[in-house]
Amino acid sequence: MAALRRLSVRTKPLLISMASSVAALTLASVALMAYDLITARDYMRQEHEVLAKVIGDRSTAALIFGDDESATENLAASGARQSIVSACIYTEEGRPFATYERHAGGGEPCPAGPPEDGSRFGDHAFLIVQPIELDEARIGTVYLRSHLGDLENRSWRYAGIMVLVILLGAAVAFFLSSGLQWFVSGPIRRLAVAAAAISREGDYSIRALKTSDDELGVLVDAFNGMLTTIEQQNLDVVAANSQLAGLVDELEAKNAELERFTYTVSHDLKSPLITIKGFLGLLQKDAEAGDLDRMRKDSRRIHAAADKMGRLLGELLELSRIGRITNPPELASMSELVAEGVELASGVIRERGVEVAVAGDMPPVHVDRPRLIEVIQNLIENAVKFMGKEETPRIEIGVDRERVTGDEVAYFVRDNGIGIDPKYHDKVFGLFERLETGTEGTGIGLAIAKKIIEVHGGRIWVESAGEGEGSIFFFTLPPGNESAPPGGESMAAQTLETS
Amino acid sequence: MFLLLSALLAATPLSLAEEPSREYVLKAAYVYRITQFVAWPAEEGIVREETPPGVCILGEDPFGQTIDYIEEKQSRGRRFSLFRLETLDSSKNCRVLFISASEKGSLDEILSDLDGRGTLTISDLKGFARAGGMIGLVVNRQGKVDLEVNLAAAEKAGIQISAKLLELSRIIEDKGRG
Repeated sequence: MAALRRLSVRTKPLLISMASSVAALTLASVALMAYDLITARDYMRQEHEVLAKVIGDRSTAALIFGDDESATENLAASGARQSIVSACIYTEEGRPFATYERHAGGGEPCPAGPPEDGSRFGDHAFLIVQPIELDEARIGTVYLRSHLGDLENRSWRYAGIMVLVILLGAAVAFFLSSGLQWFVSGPIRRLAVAAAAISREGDYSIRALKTSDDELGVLVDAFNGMLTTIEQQNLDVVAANSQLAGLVDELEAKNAELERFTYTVSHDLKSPLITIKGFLGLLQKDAEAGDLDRMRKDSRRIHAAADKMGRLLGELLELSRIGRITNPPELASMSELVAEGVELASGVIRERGVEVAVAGDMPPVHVDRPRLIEVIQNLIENAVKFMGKEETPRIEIGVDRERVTGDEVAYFVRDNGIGIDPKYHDKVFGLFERLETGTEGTGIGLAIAKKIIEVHGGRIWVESAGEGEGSIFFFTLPPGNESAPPGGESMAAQTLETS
Repeated sequence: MFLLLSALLAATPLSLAEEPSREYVLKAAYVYRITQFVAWPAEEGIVREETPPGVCILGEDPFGQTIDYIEEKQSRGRRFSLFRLETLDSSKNCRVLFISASEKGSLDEILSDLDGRGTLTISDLKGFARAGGMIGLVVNRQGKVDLEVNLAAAEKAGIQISAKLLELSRIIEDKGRG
């Protein structure tokens, strides 16, 4: 049984079919042989009964007229049947009347008296004893003895054929089932090979090939289905892992930013405080000295420092609000938003005398309207702020058609100012990252713009060839889901100029 | 009785001179046996159903009581009556006529009287079959009884003799009768 367990699925059906075919053939052969033997015996019995009857009938006259010669002739005629060994006729009293022996003296002689009526198969011989009757009276007995050589030969031949048929049947069963077993064991083996390969290589993209629509096919489908599930789950786990790693990175970055923010905030808030404190000391001295004029000056400085602090705090508050307090997004014309942004920044624009060109025909956007205006305002103010000593300062606002995809629309704000060294391209969006200490501003504007764009699901970045080359701020937004309102103005520049 | 006869049939040759009655016991048995292998025509005028078929002994009876048993036996479904006749008597419906040796002189006459009458003639007269009789009983050298059959005579009388019996018999040609 243990040996049977170890057999391959290829061998088992082979063994099963061979065992069953050999068993069936053996059974059939034995049954046929038994049937044939019985039939042959029946036939032999009938034949001998007829023969005995004929001999007896023919011998009635000879028997009752005492003509043993004629009876002997009759008996000798029975010798025409090859199997007859000896034949005898007995008188009614049971004395031998006529005898025939195929091989005189050599064969089995007739018994001295007639055996009991009937027929029987004895030791390699068949005996039949029949009464001879005349006018319904018994006048004698006929006795025939046949050897069973024919019958035995027949049995041996039959057994030989049987063995041959079983061997042949087993061979045919072997070849047939070795061919046909593939239908069953093939898919199972392929499945086993696939399973082994998967567990060895951990490659869940391997699939078992389905070759049949039976239960094995169902098994293969189920197997492949499980693999798909495992593969998907594997992918999910990997994705979740990398997402988690990303989140960790982001979290670390945020933490670092927060640290820097805390540092910067405290540093930036501290400097006006120091200013205030210093001038308060001076104010005290001035008060003691009774110098009103200086007191007035000092208190102005204190005012300015406190204002600066207030502005700083206000902008910080603003930054923290982004993403928390939102206006419901609405479909807006980009041209309108830009116009409003330009309007809000009109103070600094006029002050510096910057020419602002706004492209017409900008796709509409689906945004938090006031916030987006803020972004545009910040970008314009930033551009103006870093215009440097440019004599014909100019700002262009438009859409970068080459960057428009189905997912996002890229807008830009281009200036011809001082430009940004590429190594600071990321830094400019950080909190309080003023590249030039000499410039005005809190350093929060670009951080706010970045945060607003990201809240809208867009990106913001800067491109600049370097110092003195001007810079372009790009930001993307998801496209507004309605077609653009017919904005007719072509590149009509809206110029705001002061003296 | 039958057993005894059967025993005698297969017995050792008889000594005819010393035991003449033994010979006739055997011959009587032969007469009965022969009836078992003979078929008569079933023609009207020959078979008279009102009278039972007869076994007739014509002339001096050599059998005595040894043949009486024939009346007790059936032969192929027939039961015979036994008649001992001095002369031929057509009223007796003789199916078998045993012609005794005493009738040797008038044999031709008897046979011609019987022509076409469906009577089986048996006799132990020497040359009986050749003389036109149907079955002759002849004692051979071994003391056994041989049968001589004149088939032509039997056929003429419409009598059929079984091949089994013929197998044991010597067939005799008619002496000039055709």
